[in-house]
Amino acid sequence: MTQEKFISGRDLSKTVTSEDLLGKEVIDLDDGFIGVVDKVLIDPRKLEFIGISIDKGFLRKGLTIGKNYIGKITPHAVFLKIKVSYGVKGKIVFDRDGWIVGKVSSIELYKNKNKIISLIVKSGFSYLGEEVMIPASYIEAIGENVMLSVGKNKLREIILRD
Amino acid sequence: MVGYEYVTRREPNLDKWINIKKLIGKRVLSKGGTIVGYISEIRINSNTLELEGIVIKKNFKKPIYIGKSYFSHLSNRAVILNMEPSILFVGKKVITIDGRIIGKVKKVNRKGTTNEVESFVVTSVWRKYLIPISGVRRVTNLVLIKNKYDARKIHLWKRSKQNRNV
Repeated sequence: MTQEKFISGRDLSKTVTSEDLLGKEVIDLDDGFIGVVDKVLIDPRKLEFIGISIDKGFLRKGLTIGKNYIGKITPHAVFLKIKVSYGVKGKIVFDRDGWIVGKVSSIELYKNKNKIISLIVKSGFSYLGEEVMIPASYIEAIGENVMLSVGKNKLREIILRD
Repeated sequence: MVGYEYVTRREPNLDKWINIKKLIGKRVLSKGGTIVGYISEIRINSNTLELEGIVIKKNFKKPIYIGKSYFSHLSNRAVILNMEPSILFVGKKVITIDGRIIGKVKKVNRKGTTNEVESFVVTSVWRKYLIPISGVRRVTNLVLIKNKYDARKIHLWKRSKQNRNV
């Protein structure tokens, strides 16, 4: 077996190769399984690693994550520093009293970052109408579903005001 | 306030007070919005005349009794809890901090009947582990265990000790 030769000023023994990354599971801060790494993105001018592209599964749109959001790369998975906001899509939204407001149909993010500005919630049967926009400040908790910090009267006021 | 004759020493406020009969069948939500189940019974202490807790049913599973100390908010529509019931952790995947999946939670051992977890029984195809809560970093969508925690070793030690006692 011939030994590989290095032409570099650095110790490359502790680096991770693209081969190590590809196919690895991506887990976010909430320990949610996001998908698997399908591309490694490199800036062609600066020759720097800039992020990863994630395959979320059959018929689902992919997701690109910048390197600043990557927490660590381990032998079995890639851990993110963030809870991916896109994960909110499709979750049921409950108001403070447990009424169903609707389902999150889309989200508005702050300049392609992971910060939610508002949720677009859709429901034909909701007491609020077909589609409502709920500002992020009224979100109490995001878990399996979304809990709001306000009740239906307050929510109605907010929506009429906006 | 039309429709009732009032016999009470307190100022009646029936609009704000909840009709317990209407609560039956209403959903119970955890802190994070998980539907824990639907209210099937409401228990009241006959001595203190105070609400003690509720019994929840869901999908032919064993009913769950939740005491009022775990309630965050009560409305005509639902009961919101102030925690994630640890018994619902059953079935969650268990991974090490380096992302290795070691199995799924088979059983949650709790401190008495409280919601506090003492340990998890985790099973994979070939092995069974007992992981104390001190070995767990956090529980969210998955159960994340500490990096240098050797789950198998601890379980074997526990098992051998039990055998010795027998």
